[in-house]
Amino acid sequence: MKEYGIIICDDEKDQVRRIHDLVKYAIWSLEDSADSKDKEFKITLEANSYIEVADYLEDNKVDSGVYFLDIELSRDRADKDGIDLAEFIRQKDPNAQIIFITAYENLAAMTYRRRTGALDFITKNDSDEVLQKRLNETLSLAARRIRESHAIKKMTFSYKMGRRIINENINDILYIITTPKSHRLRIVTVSGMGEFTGDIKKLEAENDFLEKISQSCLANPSNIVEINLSTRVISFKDGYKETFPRRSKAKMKSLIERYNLKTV
Amino acid sequence: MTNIVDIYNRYNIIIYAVGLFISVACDYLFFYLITPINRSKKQNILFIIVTFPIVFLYSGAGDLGGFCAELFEVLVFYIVYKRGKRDYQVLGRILILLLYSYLSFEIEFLLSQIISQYISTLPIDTIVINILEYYILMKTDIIKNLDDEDGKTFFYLIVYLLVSFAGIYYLTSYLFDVDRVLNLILVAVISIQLIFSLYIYNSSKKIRQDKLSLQQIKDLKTYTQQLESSQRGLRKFKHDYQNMLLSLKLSAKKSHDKELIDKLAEYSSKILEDKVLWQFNDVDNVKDELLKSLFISKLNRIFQDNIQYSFECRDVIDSLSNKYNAFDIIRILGITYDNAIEESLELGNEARIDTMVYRENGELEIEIKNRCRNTDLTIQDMRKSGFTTKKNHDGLGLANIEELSQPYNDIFINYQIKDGWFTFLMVMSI
Repeated sequence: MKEYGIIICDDEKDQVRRIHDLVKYAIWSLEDSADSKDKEFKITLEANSYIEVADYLEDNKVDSGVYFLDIELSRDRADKDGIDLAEFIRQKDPNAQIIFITAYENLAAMTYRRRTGALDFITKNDSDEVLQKRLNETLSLAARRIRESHAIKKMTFSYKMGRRIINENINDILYIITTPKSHRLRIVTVSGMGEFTGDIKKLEAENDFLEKISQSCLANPSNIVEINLSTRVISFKDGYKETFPRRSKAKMKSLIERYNLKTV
Repeated sequence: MTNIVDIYNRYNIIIYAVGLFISVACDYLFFYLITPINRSKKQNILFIIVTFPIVFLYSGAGDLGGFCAELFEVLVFYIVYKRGKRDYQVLGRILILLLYSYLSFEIEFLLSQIISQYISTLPIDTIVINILEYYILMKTDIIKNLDDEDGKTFFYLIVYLLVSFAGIYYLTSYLFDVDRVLNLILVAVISIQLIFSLYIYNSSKKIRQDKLSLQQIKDLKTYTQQLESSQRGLRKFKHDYQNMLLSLKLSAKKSHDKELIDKLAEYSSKILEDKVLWQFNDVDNVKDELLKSLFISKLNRIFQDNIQYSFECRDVIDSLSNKYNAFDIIRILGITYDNAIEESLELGNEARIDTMVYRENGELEIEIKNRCRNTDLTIQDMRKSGFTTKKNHDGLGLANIEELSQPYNDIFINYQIKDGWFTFLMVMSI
């Protein structure tokens, strides 16, 4: 199994040492609980400034690293801070798992998370026990994220809402249908729904897991509950029903066979 | 000669029967189109099989028969399809259909008086009248009026119009022998009355609604100003207090009071850093009056209900784009907050509602998320119109949000239920 690097950056040396120790325990506790005996994480760099981390990333190729960054890297506000560093890291290591460590409790966590795609925010004012617990949780989340991003890259369907990119596991997708608005599609999943701009034909061509069942509907066949060949109605897990045209009957029969679907 | 009259009469009867059949069938059809039906398909078919022949035969049996058929129709439809003990919404629908049939009677009568006696020998007028009726029922707000909060008033208006129409019709046909001119005048007067009263009803309703929403804006504005000024006062107090405390601490550094002062400092920093006091800070960045009022009123309610919350808006939001009707946006967010608050109250201590307003490159994102109970309810259940977990609730749900966002091509909405959180995300241009 591949080993992933952990990088810690804080302008206070004491804090770096403290986080280093706590992260080390977190790695051990993760290894204890994991099924695999292989090592997953290793602390590769302890830094005190923006430039140290930046230099390291210029010299070494890091993939899917875990970064613990202090937001206030300098007393001087004009200097580059942890947020800037996170943006730089993203360019070098797109799959970076970034965790911010901050002294401010009143931080706009949702906004920073949105801006930097950070995994978590941890306040360092907490006691060691509380901080240890948070670090254990966040490291195991990072491990899961990295594993997912490698194994399931092909299993994800992404769409854009404005500038925001939403990722859905394709197993969760029920269907994609047209809406009264032009070029606006609606995607319905097991746990939610969303809207995006797109074209049914293009989507069908680009995604093998989607089957076109009518002019206005692409379905994920594994989430079809039942196909009624006599009334030509397909029912989905959420209760939605779509009628398919007569000429598609043969195609439906082949779907039923291929996915072992229920018929009436 | 006799032969031709004979053929003509026979032909006339068939035409009459066909016309009658069409109008009775249309009555049934329109009723099913405009009424929320709570019976099964089988029950509906049985109902039609049993009642249709009776209505059809009586309608053809002269004026008295027609009257009986109408009475029978109103009663049976109401008894079978009413949803509660008293259902003025269903009764109102039946009466509107009846009113229209009286109206068309009169129009037919007028036409036969003015143009030709034989106009009714062709079923064309029946067809035209029914197409017109379809258009009025389906494309105008006539039926919708019954379902809004002024529905009862509208219902009484319909009853009043119906009684006056039927009264005129039967009085002129049986009790008083009036000549053609007088009859025409009566019909004209009552038709004008119908149009006029509908017009008055609609305009008074509109005036009242406008007044109401104006008042709401005014209230919210006042409230916003008050909150902002008290917020400024609090911030100033915090600043002064902390400075005073600091200087006190310095002066007491070497005396015995140090321990006491430290305790005081710890206590007051805990109180002053308390999130609830300063959480409104970010609302200042929202410069759009309506949007700001909405956030303040909802956050305040959340605060009053002791629900944990956070509000983030780091960028200045000047004003919403003119592309949108601000009220639609406000209502979408209002519904989302109401749902979140409702769920939070069910949840108790765990409850939390987080809001983020985020602007980037001409796009505005509003994310509202709340903790929710683990239920098997899916988004699809909530999308169904009128869904709510509570009884006797207005039933505003996700369906309303979709309806409100429908006219806009660049509003994107996303919902997710995941890991105990319900997340609402709206992306729009600014």
